[in-house]
This record gives sequence, C-alpha cells and structure tokens, in this order.
Amino acid sequence: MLRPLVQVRNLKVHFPIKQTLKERLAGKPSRKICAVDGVDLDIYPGETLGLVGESGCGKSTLARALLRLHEPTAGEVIFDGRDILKLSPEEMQAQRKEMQLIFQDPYASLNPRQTVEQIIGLPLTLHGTSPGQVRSRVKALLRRVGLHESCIDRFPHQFSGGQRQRIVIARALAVKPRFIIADEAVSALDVSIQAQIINLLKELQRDFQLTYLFITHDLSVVSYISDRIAVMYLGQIVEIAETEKLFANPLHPYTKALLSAIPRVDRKKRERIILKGSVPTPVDPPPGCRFYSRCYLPEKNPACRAAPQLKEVEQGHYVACHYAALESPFLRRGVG
Amino acid sequence: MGNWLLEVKDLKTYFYTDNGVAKAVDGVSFSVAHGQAVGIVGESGCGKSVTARSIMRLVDYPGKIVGGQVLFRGEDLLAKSEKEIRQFRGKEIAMIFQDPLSTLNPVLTVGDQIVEAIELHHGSGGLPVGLPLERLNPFMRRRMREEAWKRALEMMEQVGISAPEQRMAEYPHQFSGGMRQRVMIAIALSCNPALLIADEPTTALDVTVQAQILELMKELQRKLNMAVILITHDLGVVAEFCDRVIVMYAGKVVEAGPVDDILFAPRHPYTAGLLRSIPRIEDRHRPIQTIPGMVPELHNLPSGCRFRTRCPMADARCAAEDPPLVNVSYDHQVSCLQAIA
Repeated sequence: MLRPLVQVRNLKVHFPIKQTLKERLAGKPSRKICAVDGVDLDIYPGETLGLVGESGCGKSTLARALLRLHEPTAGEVIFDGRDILKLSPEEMQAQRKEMQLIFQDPYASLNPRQTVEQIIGLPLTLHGTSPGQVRSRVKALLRRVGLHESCIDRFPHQFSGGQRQRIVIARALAVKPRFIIADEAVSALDVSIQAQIINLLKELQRDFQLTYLFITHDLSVVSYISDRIAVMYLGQIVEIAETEKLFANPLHPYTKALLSAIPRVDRKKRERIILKGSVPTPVDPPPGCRFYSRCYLPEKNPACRAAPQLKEVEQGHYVACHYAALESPFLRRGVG
Repeated sequence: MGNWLLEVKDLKTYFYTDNGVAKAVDGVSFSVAHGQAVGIVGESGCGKSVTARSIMRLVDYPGKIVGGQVLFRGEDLLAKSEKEIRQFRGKEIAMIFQDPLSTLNPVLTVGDQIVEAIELHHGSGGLPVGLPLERLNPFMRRRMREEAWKRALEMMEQVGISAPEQRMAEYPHQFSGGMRQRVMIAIALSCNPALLIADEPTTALDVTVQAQILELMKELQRKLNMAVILITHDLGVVAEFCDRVIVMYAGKVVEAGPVDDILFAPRHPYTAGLLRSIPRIEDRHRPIQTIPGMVPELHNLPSGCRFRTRCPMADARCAAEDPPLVNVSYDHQVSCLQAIA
C-alpha cells in the first residue's frame, strides 16, 4: 500500500470569540468558532484530492492549517512521515518549500509594484538560488506556464486574469514543491480561460509528479480534475470517495443534495433535492450530526444526536452518516 | 408585431476612455416576449451587463448610449426624458444584481427598503403615484405607510423568508447571502414588474442556495407571468432557467435561439467552444478543448469578424467582412460566415 504524502489526523482549528465586558461580567462561558472540527484525511502522492463544500464550511481554514498559516488547535499533520505541527519556525520555513499555496484572486496575490522577475524570483532567492541564476530560472518558469519570456520585466496590471494566475502558478512552482494546495484557483476565471488553466495544472502535475489538494465550490471543475473527492460540511468531512464513485453513488444526504443542485447542460431531466435553509453557524455547533438541522432523510431520528463517524462502506468510500450504510431506499436511488 | 414586450434594436453603447473608444455594446438587437425567460451569456467584458444597464438607461460616464432603440411595449425608452423613464425603472422593469450586500442600504432596515420601493411606485390606498410624501397630510401618510407595509410583508412571505414581521425590522448584515438575494427579489417584484433583469443573481451564492433562488425565481415568474432577462456566464444556469439564449462576444450578438438549439446544436464556433470548455466528468482523462487566446480589447478590435483571431475555422473572408446576424432556422440566428452545419 502506498504511503500517503500528507496525513491529517483529527485536525481541529478553533477560533475563540472575544467576549464583551458585559458578557464577562455576567460570567457567560466563552464561545468559539469551530472552523475545522476533527478532520481525518490522507492525500496520496501524485493524486488530486478535491475538497468541496459551501462557503463557511472550513475548507480554506483547513488548507491554511495544513501549511500552518493558521495554527491548529489540536491534531496532527504528517507530511512525508514528519509531523509538521511539531517543527520549529526555522524547520517550518524549510518545510514550506515542499508545500505551496495558490489562491483564488490573482489580483490580490501579486504585489502590484513588483515586476514578474521580482515576484517569481523571491521564493527562488529565499530558498537558495544564487542571484546570477534567478533571471534564467524565472524565464524557464514563465515558458513552462505558457507565458512569453519577454513578460519578465512587466508588472501585474499589464496582464489579464488568466495570465496573472499563470504567474501565481509559476511562483508556486519556483521552489519545486511536491504538494500544491489550490484554493479556488480557477473560480474567478471565465470558462474558456478556466479550461486553459485546468489543462496547465494537469500537465504540470504529470511533468513534476505533483500532489494537489484542489479546493473549490465548483463541482464540475472538481469532477474533472480530481481523482478522489472529499465533501466537507460545517468543519467536518462527511464523505470521501473516488470521483466516479462519488458522482455515481453519493451516499451522504448532503452530498446527494449538493450534486443534484449543480446546474448542468444536460438533456436529462434530473430529480432535484433542494435543501432548506443555509449552513448553520460554526459557533459552538451542537453535538451529533452536523447536518441534522437540514437533513431530509425519512430515517432521521434522535439517534442522529450522536456524532456519526467516518466509516468505510465500500472499498475506498467513506461516509459519516448513521443511515448511509444501511439500505435506505431513499438513498439508493441514483442522482442520475 | 405588437407582441413583443421588449425590443432592442441596434443598440450601441460606447465608452469614451483615455485609450480610445471602447465599443462595449455594438449593434445589439433582440426581443423578449411576455412571460419569456431569456438568457444572455458570454465571458467578462462581452457587454452583457452593459446591455442590461442600457435598457434601464443606467450607463454612467464615460459610457454613453450612442444609437439604437429600446422599445418597451412599443415605446422607445431611449427617447424618454429622465423624469419619464422613472415611471418604468423599478415599476415596469426591475433589476437585481450579483451582490445584494452592496445594493442594499446597510443603515436602513430591510422592511424600510421594501416599503420605500412600494411607496415610490405604487400609489397604494388610492393615492396618486409619485406624489411627494411631504405634501400629504399626516393621516394620509400613515395610511399609505400601513398599506405599503402590508404589501411588503406579503412580498417577504412570497420570497420564502420565514418570520417576516420580525425580519423586516432587521438590517441587511443580519441576513445570509441567499436571504439578501431574496430581499432583493422582494423589492424588485413588489411593484409587479412586467420585466425583471437579473444580472448574475446567483453567481455569489453557494450551489445549494443557488438552486433555491433559481427555483424561487422560476416559481414567481410563472405566477406573475413576468418576463426575465437572466445575465450569466454559467451555461448550466441557462440550461435550467431559460427558454431562449443570446450569446454575446466582444459587444455583439453572435448567436441567438431556443435554449435546446443553442446548447445541443450550436452553430457559431464560439458557442461550440464555450460548451466544450465546460469541464465534464466523462472527459477526465483527456485535456479540455479550449478556445485559444483571449477576448480582444474592446478599443482595439480585429477587422471583420471579432472572433476570427481565436476561431479555428477563420479564413480571409472573415477578416474582410463583418458577418451579419442571419436566420439559420426558425428563431435561430447566427453571425458567422462559416456557421457550423
């Protein structure tokens, strides 16, 4: 069995809410936002793991916690056998070379006052490329992401959104990472440009044996790019499976509703499950199944007040629902 | 042809910038029938939002509507005075936008904002429309306000906001994204408009909430027999919602027709390219077919067909001639010299 490149064990990221004086005087207990609340995840070398969920479900916080951009409250993040949460700041600095992050907004993640050479050159210099070689390395990187070498002395505002995202990708590649987290990396782009960037990411993965954690809310993108998909709801993973399996046979009621809600260009008329309400607040969530308040299963009952564990129901298909594993006739109907 | 609710004829909206004239909308024509849902699709900068704003005459400096006609029930909105157009804006034609948080006033309660729209247009309680409130006596004013408040409550219920009385007293920041969009819809529909223009109404929302809002819009559209122009970049949303689709590219309509024709038998290479660019699970093991290059700059357009620089089928003829929008089958128009058979 292949050893996972990244292992996440019971990871928790909680943010305390600052109390007002009035609340403190009244002796109210302090509250916290449980953005990530007990996540277990294995990411295998060379694969693309898609992470989907709605806004506020904690997917970006999880990504940042993996890089220690948010300090996790509890749990382990094991990268290639080492628990990176135990590393000193200097060791962590060196470790970051292995793991890079691409953000959604290429406008915000590039310094408008730096040239492309400075932007892509910085990680190179920081991680020990000699100054004489920086320029030629940057040129090589630009070519690799499909930009012309002559772009090297230009500023970010001289590029379109798609080109800027290519610069961001070149910067992430500069330090030859093994693991890239793409946080909504193509969400801000137009369809035709988005397709170009997705193709580029796939090509780079093949050429450099990269491992991706691909975070998005766009289910058609994730279905195309991922080998496996993890579905997140309110700080927890509710289902993980191979892409084809997840789309053909979603088991968690939330996954089912989510997949049925994608607007598709499709002749088939599909049955649509429309969830009521919206994602509840992650402030001190009640114990038990997080999806309880929006669950539409006829089997739903007070037993759901006990937290469901992520269980393997078939080879490589994990679900956290008390009823998903059962022969619920409701769940057995395919989404189409 | 008195059947059309809205006819846009050869609309031209140009932006006079320092870099030259950007022809954001350059000769756009289309029609919307009563109760019809028409989608306008295209990538950023293709002029879909400017088209919508031009219909409402909401184009700001340095933009200017330089030509064409917008016939609403046969009357040309572009020929109206600023005062006359206010009778249409919000009352006959309502608009909702992508980002409800920046459209709602953060310091007024949601109830006040719905009531404001109703009072402005509705002359409820038998009062004349548009009469300034300060000229009414206090008694009339109160009666008018009560009527409007009742109507606002009804609207809140219609758009599926629970506990409307309590929520009307709340401020926009106390609402979630989906709920805010419901409030926007409530405001837009409070005056029973004949046409609703929705500019990317669900783009900022999560998929499950998007499904709720589209369902709500569809239901209200049927109930009120209202026409909708839905502007979006998401072809999936169009497939779910629209009867007819208009595809725009660089300020022009490149293809228009019934939704099934456009999505399943596109005739313009751009439409076909857009459809192929959607990532699909079935195509996982091969690269997505993309449209090479990018949208041309609007003040520096290629000669002839605007799409020719990215078109796989372009030849010398495409550079010389600007292709007209011609009928290829019943109700299906394409602007391409090489239209896909």
